[in-house]
Amino acid sequence: MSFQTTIPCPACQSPIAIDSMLLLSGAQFRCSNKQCTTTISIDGGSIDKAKQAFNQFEALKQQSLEQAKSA
Amino acid sequence: MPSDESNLTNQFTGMPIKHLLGAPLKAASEANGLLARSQLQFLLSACFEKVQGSTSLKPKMIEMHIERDIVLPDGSKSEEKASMTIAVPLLTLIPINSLSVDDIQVSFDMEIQSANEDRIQNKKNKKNGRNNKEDKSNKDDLEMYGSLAPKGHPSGESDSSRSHSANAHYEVKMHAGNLPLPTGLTTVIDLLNKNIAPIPAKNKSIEGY
Repeated sequence: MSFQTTIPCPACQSPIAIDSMLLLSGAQFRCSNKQCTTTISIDGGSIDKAKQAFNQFEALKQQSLEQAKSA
Repeated sequence: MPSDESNLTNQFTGMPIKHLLGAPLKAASEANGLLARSQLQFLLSACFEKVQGSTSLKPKMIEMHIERDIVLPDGSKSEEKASMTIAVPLLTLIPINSLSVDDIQVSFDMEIQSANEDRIQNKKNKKNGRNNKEDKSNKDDLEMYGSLAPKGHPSGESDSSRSHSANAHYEVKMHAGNLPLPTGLTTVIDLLNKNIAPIPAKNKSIEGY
């Protein structure tokens, strides 16, 4: 399951929309500012670390839903 | 033979109204506490790591590649791209929100069966042998008892007409939404976001930066 987030462009501070699954697959994300040509992608060595955190985040979301239902 | 519905209604007979009102609020409060604790635990375990030899935590960082086009002096775009690697806090990539129950609506019809006006302070004063006139802080505690009213039948109707409808109406609507993040956490995220910006090297010449 993927989720979307944004980070500021290191060059112009415009938001860069990022999809978690695409990020882990090595995709490049382009800055939303048309004048800025910056693209960003994850380093291969950091994929496992990010994947672990994203999975924990998904588990937390599921856990929160279950808690809300049981309450 | 009594139906399940009438059994259920009987369970809500003679119940203090404060319990009917307070139970959903207490449940929502407990749910909010659980959600907040889960999110905090996640933040600390997934996005931070312990500093060796210290009790403090530091944000987990992941490395990312940045590429930019290079514009040549004549205005044309170079085929080569400027690239560099930066360390980004993992915290900034995860859409942390402050999810909690932000709206509760409790709706029910109730028939008041009895009201017990308990003069707590008077009883205490009598026990202590104090005079009521001396103490002006007397408080009367009125507690009402009742049962959930049968659906569609206002109180005052005859018992025979009421017996046709055993199910009662007790509705609790809850809505969970995103509350604004605490100021402290927003400040930390802002600081981490600002640190994403690359710092130009002094002794090295980096193309494009």
